[in-house]
Amino acid sequence: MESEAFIQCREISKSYRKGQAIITPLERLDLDVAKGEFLALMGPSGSGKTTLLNLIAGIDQPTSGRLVVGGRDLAKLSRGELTEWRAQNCGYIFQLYHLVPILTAYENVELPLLLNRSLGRKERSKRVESALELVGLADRSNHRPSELSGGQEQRVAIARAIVADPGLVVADEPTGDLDRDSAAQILELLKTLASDLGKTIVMVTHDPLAAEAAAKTLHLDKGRLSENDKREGVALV
Amino acid sequence: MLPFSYATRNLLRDPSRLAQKIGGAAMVVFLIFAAGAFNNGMERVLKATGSPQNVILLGAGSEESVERSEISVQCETLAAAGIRGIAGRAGTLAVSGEVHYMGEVLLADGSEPQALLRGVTPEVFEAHQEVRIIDGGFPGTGEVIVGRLAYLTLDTASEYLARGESITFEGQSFKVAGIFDAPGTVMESEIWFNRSDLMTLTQRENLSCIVIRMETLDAFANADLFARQRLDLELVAMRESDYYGKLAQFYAPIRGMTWLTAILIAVGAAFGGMNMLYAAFASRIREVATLQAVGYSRVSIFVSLLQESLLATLLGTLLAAFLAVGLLEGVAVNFSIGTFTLALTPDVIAMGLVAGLALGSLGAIPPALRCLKASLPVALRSN
Amino acid sequence: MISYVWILCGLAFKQLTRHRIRSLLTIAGVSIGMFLYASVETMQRSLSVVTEATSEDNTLVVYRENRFCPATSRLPERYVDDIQRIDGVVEALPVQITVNNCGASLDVITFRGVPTESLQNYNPDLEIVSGSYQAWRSRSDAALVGRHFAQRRGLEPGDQFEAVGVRVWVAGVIDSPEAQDNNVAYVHLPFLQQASNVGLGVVTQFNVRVQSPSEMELVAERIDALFASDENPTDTRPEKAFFAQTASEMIELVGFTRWLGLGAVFAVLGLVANALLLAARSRVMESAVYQTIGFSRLAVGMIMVWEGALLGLAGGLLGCLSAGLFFYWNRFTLGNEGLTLALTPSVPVVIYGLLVAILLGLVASIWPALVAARKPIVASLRTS
Repeated sequence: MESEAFIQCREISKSYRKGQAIITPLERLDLDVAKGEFLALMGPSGSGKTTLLNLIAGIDQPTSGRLVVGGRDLAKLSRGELTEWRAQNCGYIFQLYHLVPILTAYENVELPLLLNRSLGRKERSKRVESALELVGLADRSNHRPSELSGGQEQRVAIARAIVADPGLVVADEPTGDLDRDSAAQILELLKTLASDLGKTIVMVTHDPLAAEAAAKTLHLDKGRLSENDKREGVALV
Repeated sequence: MLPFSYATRNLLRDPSRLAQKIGGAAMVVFLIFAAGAFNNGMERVLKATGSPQNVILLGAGSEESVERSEISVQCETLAAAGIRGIAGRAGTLAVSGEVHYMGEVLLADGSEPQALLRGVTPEVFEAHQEVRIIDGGFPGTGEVIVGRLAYLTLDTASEYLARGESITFEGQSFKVAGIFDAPGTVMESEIWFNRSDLMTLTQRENLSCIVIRMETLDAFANADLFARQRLDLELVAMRESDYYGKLAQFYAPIRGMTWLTAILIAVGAAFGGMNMLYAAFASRIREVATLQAVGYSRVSIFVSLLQESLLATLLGTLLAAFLAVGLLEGVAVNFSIGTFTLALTPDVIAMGLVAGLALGSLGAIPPALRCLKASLPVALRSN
Repeated sequence: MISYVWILCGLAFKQLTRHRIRSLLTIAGVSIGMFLYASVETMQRSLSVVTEATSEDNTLVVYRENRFCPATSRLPERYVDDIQRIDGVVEALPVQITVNNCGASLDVITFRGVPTESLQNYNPDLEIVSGSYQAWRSRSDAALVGRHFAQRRGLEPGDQFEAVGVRVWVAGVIDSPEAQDNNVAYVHLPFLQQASNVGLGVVTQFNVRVQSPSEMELVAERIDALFASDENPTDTRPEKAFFAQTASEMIELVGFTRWLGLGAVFAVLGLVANALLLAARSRVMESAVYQTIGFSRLAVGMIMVWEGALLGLAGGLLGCLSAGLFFYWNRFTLGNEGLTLALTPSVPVVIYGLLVAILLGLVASIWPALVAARKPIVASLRTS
């Protein structure tokens, strides 16, 4: 049912120029994701998963088509509006964490809150501590990324992604650089974010085990979702 | 050891950064060349001007400036008679009583620059053997001869001081009767008058100094004795080389300032260069760790990093050398003592080379050590 | 809005303090450049103080026409009576100047011979720091030595020293609001006339105090007209103009340092821009992450601009203060043709230098800020 979908993609295409060639990672793609859903996107390298993720996260814009997230058509927003939208509505988790190396865990998590000018220092502090508590790193708030393990860094990244309470969290291969145990912890966290906090989560992954943590898995190949019932989001093997 | 081509290829990896390194090194070394050439040029012209075989008799208390000195005209004949060991040719003793004066002259182009004027007699060529008239003859009354480089000191075109042209001094017109040269000395920047003309016009009854060429270096003692014995004449005897040596000392602070400035700028640029090297090497920590993992020792990698840095700075040094030869060599600089030319002597070149080497090696050591410091497991994981 | 700007400043400060080596190297380089710049400005300012006329100037210098070196300017001392009688003249002081070298240098020794009774009247602001006027008056070979001169030579009352063929006894050390006075030694006129062999009755120049500053030119013309057909015609000019026209070599030297100042400015610009460009290039991913979180491109660029300003501030503070202290402790004096120029530090120069440094930091950061902010997010994220 279209009107209930939190994320609605209609005929989304994305092309860009690479030297002389035109690359089209996505071509007339349709997709619906319900609110609070934990979706995994799988597919081989070059299938367009990350491209789709970047469009949904608002860090890129489609060449054509309609992309509505939380009731806003992102394709129609200006660059400035998109930036503002991201600050309030989306948290991004990267494969390589991408924490700012010179900031402590606390300062990294605080970054999105600095954009909310109505928040005072005390309120910011409360939210940061709360986020770090949620990911189990309250005792590491003064450590810099170089002093944390890979798993800990990713948890800080997750804290950063949710501290501003966005409705949407996107994750690009969040467990790609982690050992099995750390990966399991991260996936557990993501599940909690969806089930307990009602966040909509879209995760790109290579790993079938990681995909199992998601409620639903979709397969992308050459810029198209597989033919089987895209709108209902039936999982494909 | 890592092959040399590793160093060269790494340099070529980032052409804009390489250009920055070469440019920075070139600037630093060029500055060293400039400061060295300036100091050398000034020192050389002063050294060359004063001969150790010449004695200069000055008024007591005026050892630092011949322009201030006053001695009576009689001293000339008294000195010629009273000092033993004076050189001479064909019956003419090398005793030159001179008037040194700094004054404004009006040139044909309308300018009125300050000039170094010297009132001389024909004996001046006996006392100053490096001086030769290359065009024309000795100035008679109403005439002057002009040093080959005087036009540079007076900041005018050489045509206005050519033979046959006129200059005006104290309202009187003087014709240029000849051109003289005295290579590498301050005399080449001067205008020489017939001594009696200059004394009349400046209302002087006294000479500035007497320059005497001695037969031997040791004969200086005779002139010194004469000056000490004849207290009534209030004279002081100095070797001409010592007089100009003292003059060089007088300008030492200015020369010191030149060096200080050049060094300060070079150090500042070196800081910028080190910054770049830190960044360049830091971005290669993982690569360097990989080489170690493959089996290359830290020493061999260190040597390779040093090779890279030295190559870039030596290229910069070469560029600086070309620029120096093109822009500095032979350039005339005006100073109160006269005009001198910038000289890129072997020791100046050596100084520049050493500066380039120091920049390339010392500047690279801290960043290279930092790059190699990290333990292998940490370095291999860095990004 | 202001708090947001401060937040970006805070992030910039953290970038600088946590990349210590890069920041220290840059600040060191900037401080050297600003030291040079502030030194040049000090020289320029010291020179403009003595050469640029103001509405309060009321001193003329009467010199021998067409002469520049004190050794060659000789005027009859008797001229002073004629000058005193001219309309508009308050006071005239005959001065004999003996200097060790007329060329421009840092190591000039200057004696000024003045009539014993006239010095205090002519220079009422002259203050005796140590020793006494009495002691000066009591001995013919006594000298009152200017403060900076005494400091440079390590002289105290009771010392004897010889220079330029003149041997004097230090009767006191003086301090004067006139910079020239602090760099010379005042001796008795007849003593100097004899010691320097010019002979009694001859002086180098007359310093003339005029009733009204607006009448300076008129009085100068009257003086020159009076002696025009004499054996020793005069050239009378306001003291500052006299300085500007006589000490030409010194002025040229100081003028040349302008180029040094300009060079220092470019060097600072280059250093800061270089350091920030390095930072921008190494933070491509970081800049993309900031934008992903929701920082605008302007904000990302502003962080870099703040870094530039802070680097300029730190380097400027260090460099300009050092220059001020350097000149304060060393009391350099340039001399030329018997005139002295004291290189005096001043607070305005330090503040001005600081502002220039901050401005340079800002300007230098513009291109790196553009580099940091302009690359599209997706392309930056793909970089690794």
